Amino acid sequence: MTQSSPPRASGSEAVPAGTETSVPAFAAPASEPAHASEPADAAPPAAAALPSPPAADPRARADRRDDTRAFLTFLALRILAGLGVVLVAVSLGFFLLRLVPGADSVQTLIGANGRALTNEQIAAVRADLGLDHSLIVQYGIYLGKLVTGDLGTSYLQRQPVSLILGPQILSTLQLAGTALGFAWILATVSTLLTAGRRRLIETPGRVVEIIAASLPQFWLGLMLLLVFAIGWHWFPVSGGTGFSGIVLPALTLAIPLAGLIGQLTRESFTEALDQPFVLSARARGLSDLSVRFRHALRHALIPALAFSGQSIGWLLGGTLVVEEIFARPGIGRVIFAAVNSRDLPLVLGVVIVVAVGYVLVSIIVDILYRIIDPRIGVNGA
Amino acid sequence: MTQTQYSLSSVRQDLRPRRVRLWGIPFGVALALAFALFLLVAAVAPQIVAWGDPFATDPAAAFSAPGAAHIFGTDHAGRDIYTRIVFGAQQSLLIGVAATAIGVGGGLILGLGSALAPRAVDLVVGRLIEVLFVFPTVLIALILISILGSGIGPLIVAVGLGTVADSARLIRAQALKVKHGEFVAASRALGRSSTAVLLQTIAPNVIRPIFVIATLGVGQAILWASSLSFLGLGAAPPSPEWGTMLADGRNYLQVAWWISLFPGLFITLSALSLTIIGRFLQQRTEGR
Repeated sequence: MTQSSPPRASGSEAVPAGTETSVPAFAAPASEPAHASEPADAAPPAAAALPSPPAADPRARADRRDDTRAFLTFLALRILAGLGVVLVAVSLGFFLLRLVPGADSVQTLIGANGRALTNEQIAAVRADLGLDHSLIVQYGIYLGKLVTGDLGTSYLQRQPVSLILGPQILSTLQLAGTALGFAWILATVSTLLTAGRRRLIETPGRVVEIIAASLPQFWLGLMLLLVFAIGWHWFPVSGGTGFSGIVLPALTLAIPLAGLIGQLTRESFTEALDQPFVLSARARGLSDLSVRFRHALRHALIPALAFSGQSIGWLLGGTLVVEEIFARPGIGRVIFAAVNSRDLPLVLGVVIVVAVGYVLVSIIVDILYRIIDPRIGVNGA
Repeated sequence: MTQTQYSLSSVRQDLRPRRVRLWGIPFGVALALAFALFLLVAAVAPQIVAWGDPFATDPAAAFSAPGAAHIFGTDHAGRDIYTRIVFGAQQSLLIGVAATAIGVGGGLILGLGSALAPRAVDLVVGRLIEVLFVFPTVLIALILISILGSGIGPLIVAVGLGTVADSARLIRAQALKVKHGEFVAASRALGRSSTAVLLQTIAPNVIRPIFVIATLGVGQAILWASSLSFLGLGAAPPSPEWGTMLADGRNYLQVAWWISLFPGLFITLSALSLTIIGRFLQQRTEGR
């Protein structure tokens, strides 16, 4: 990715394929019959899935009803599969964390400050934390509580995990959301301005993108701090409330991400510019910018969208580093502290939050897909 | 700017000025190769490119700014940053290559196993890959490091296992693409046994792109390993590991920017040059 190698095209069925596999979809209009004289032809069977004014034709209405039903079935299946993913993630996390040395030793857990505990005290604490049951029973109890929305109690802070995580999630979401927004803006602007142009203009765009994608977040964060906070005093060095406090951390996450997204958008954007519908749009006298903005951009967004969905794990991993550098509260710092102190319920809580977040985002991305490119059927491209 | 375009890409391609090339290699790729070569030399025989001792302290010269005596400056103990970076290359490359070997190896088993096995297995393993992918690499690495303890060995294992899901996804996608390729159907139609098809037709086509995945992977692994070291989970100071140096420099960001700048620059350049070389290999093997 970036860090982590960019999540690429997956072969898995429902998850819409990313870069490679989606390319044929863009080539499709080339084989469309040559009625490319109307703007709507940019995306041929647009009416099929986009909300359109009620048609008088009863057959069309029936078609749309079928579409709706198929879409709901698809959605239900995705949600079920998503629940499966969350369950497996929780189980993996639960058993993996038991391998941590001292994971169930009371001394490590409550940090007895070196005082020796009597056997009775240890037994009491173990019973209190539910550690006196066998592993399978503990697992069962945990899942049972989880169904009712109870994430358990932190070993160390003696507070419900949901209470600890709640405010942190908000802060991290804010950071990740702003970063994603910045990344999209940067990538779109770079693509719109430089993709498919003369080499003199395009090459710098490409070079900047590939460099951006290789930047380590922790270093980029420090350098941004150095220039904009220490050097020029534009932004606070750490903390800082409101928008000015979030700019540098979000940029730290956004710049490498924009590099990755930009490479994807550029590729499909350039392909889209070669399509007949672009030629026809130009023939109708549309300005270059409006051809790019109104016709080609739509095609360029799909792989970028898929990537954004898949990059959510990467983004959350990045928040850990960024929150550390900029001393921002958030899930990243909680994970770090929780893993270090073997606070099992807290770590599992974070795992659940991450898994649920990933599943939700990928479902939203699937839906957005169908809005942007109606050619993608309910069964995938 | 309105630019009239008369025709499709082929014509545009012809009209474009020629790329700057050295012996048939694009300029950028040549630069990347040169940097990779420098890294390799630094890793194998650091004395060739840096003459000092990476651990020699010189309190009188502490915090010297980059200049003639120390081109990248010195740190709080007066150690020469350039020498330390050169001597750190070995560790960074070693971690990158070893972690990638684990990551790609695991990815190969999971990805091939899932793509070529019967549907039921694919369903299970495919899901498993997705679940692994959901976990942020940092989280996997953190948990593994807390199981194994910190240090170079655990760092390699953690980064390797943390990136298994990435390569497994790529390899699975590639294997599925090959499996459903026309030439595989043709090979079957010629009456070859399924083992022969698997070994002679499918395997070579799946394995070739793995070099590309591995090259790109080493760059990524270097990034991951240095960020974990930066968080204090990898090599301990005074090791010249780049992430560790950066973490150290962070404390002096306000007084001595060069301690943080240069190690990070080398991490970036390593990842960048490996990415460029990997992409170049990719284009060559795909014949684009």
